[in-house]
Amino acid sequence: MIPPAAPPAGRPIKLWDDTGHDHDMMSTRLLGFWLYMLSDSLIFAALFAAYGVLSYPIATAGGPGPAQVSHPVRAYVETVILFTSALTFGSAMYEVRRNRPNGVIVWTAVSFVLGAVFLGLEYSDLSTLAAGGATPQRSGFLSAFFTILTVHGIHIAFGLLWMLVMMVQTRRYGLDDKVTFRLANLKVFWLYQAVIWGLVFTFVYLWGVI
Amino acid sequence: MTKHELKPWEHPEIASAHRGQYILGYVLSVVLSGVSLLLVLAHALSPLGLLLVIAVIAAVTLLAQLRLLFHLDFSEHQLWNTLTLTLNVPLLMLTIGLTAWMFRTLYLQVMTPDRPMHGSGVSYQQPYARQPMADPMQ
Repeated sequence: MIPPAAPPAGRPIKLWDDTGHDHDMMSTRLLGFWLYMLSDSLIFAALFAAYGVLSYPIATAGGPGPAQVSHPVRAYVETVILFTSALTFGSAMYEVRRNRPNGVIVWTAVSFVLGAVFLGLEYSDLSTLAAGGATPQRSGFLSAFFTILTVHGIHIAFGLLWMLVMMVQTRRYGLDDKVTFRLANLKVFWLYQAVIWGLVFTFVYLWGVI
Repeated sequence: MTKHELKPWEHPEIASAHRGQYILGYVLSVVLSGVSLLLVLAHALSPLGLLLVIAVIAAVTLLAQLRLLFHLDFSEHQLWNTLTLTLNVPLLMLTIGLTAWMFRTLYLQVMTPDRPMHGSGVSYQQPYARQPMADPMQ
């Protein structure tokens, strides 16, 4: 931040800056994206609330309940994979800080692979359940269960797409202003998905087998 | 471009990328989640006790992640992020808390009141018989 200069003697004090266009673009846009992530957290709050109220025995409609569809050890493996992906994306941001585009691309690629593995495991979990008759249509509980996992999975899929785009942009443009703030936004997005998954792990998978 | 403008990688958001903090946040997240997992698998406590303990562990993990991964603090650069998150917390609590409370009350009034929540080992036997409800608009 630039400290405000004292106005020269004899000139009126200006209450706003009508000349400067050197706003901190990255901070402004990062705050905007942060507000978007907070609104996204309200979506997940609604989904967690729906899952909570549909965990009652009546909502299973005689079908499988939380204890039958939750596999906490598998979920923990997925949790570690996603947290590792967040860590490797942190390493990509560290390479941004050191202005090394190739390092950014390598670490983003590692995050992408780990995220893809996570998504594959999640898909295999859900398709196994569905193959066993536990489809979202079976009961209100299963609808809520599939919805919260699918919405998270869609976020992960968009994060993976974003990573591909950023690898191309980093290769093509280097770490200029735009690429850097997009990477910073992607970091917020990706780490946020890992945080949400940590809550899914606790309140869906662990709570389900208590 | 003014001479004051930072290089993109010198921006505070980027300069806050400390590898040590990411690694610490990662280790804490994995270890605390693992502790929750082991407690639940071992059935170390009563169901309610387990739920409370894993909720507290999840809250601690969340705070550690906000600090170590998102670098939230009260510095000039992060103040607005921290403030907006703080203002968002009541919305999250109202969304989840009021919904849970409302439906729990509803279920207790319309179902056999023996078991409000899954986990106590009793299965719900008798389906709730639908009864015509008075339409409040008429």
